[in-house]
Amino acid sequence: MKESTIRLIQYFTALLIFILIGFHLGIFTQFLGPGYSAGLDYLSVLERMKNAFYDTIYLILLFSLLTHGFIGIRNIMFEIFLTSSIRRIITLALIIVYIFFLLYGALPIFYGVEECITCV
Amino acid sequence: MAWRNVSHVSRVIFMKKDSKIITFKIKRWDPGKGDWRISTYTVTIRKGMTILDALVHIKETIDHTLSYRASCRMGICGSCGMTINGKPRLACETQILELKSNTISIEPLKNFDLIKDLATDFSLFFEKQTKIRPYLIRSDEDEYWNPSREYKQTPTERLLYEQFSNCITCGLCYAACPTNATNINYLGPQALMNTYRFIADSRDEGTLERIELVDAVDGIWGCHLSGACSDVCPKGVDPALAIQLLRGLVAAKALRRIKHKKATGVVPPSEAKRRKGIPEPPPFNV
Ligand code: SF4
Ligand code: FES
Repeated sequence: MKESTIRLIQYFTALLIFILIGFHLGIFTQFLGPGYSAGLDYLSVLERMKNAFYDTIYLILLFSLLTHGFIGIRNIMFEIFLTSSIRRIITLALIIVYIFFLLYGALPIFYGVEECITCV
Repeated sequence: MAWRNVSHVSRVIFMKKDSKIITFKIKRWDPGKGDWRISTYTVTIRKGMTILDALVHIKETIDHTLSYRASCRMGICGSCGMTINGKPRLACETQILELKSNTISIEPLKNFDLIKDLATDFSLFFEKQTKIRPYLIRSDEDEYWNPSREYKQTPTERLLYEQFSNCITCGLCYAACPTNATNINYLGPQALMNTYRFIADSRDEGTLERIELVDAVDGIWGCHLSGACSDVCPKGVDPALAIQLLRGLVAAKALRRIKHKKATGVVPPSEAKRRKGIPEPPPFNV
């Protein structure tokens, strides 16, 4: 993938994060959600996890955060390690860790969906 | 003898009015020992003297072993870049009294390999400059290699890159750049600025090719926007601006918003007629 494409993905995910984190924090206010303490309540969190809309939002947020963060880590690593072979190894290692975190982070979301399916 | 006396008297008058005693601390690279040493020289300088004047004076009258590079003495050749009081500057364009300090430190330019004392090796700098193909790329090969007339360009088209064509390749921007300090592969502000200079030139057809060359971690994306390059540039070229404009073009290409640029052709044959009363030029005699 070209470097410019990677950077555009990083800019785009930054924009997504800005919007979605705003929404995510917004649900802890009285305007968009049940308020701060009620919003963090276990049952309330579970309820949100069972909601397909919130699940989609959280999945996109998870994807954006991980993509943005890992591209950032890659850039920092590339400034420390200058040889192309080491850079290739770093990229490969980061992709593996990225996929692991993506799956690990998506698990509770899908767990919520599953709960939702079984509870219907 | 008479001349000497006159010279001495004028110097005495001069010393009273405009002169100052300045200490120069010069950090010198000794290639034989592979180590640094600091030489200190005390020089009486007068108003109007530049750092280069002082170095010439030191070399001619105090220490013949001092090495530095200079040529034009007027800010054109770009050879006399050095770190003066911590900042990369041209020695021939730095007035000593304007530095407002009694002790002046001089070091070689940072981010360059060293040759001796203040002289640095510009090979890598020019290698990077060559990499970006700093010349017009055209498809009309015949006209390019056997030009019949000059390429067409309006004054407005020229203005688009004029500022960037003032670069004298002095390397001060390269020495000030924090990315160059940590990443030897980074193309550097001068090469990136020059890439934009050719893309902005209406006579050039190599836009896509040039974008391809700089679209890399060690290319346009290595810049951290510190702006140090523009801060030190003695010609007001503003490489940081060129880098940002270039970045915009690279991003636009990634979004498929840029297509191959067709360059302007050659100027049409002149149809100007000789005005009345203007005599014919003499015939060619060579
Ligand atoms: S851009 Fe300015 S500082 Fe950099 S090499 Fe050209 S003239 Fe020197
Ligand atoms: S000697 Fe030529 S720029 Fe200073």
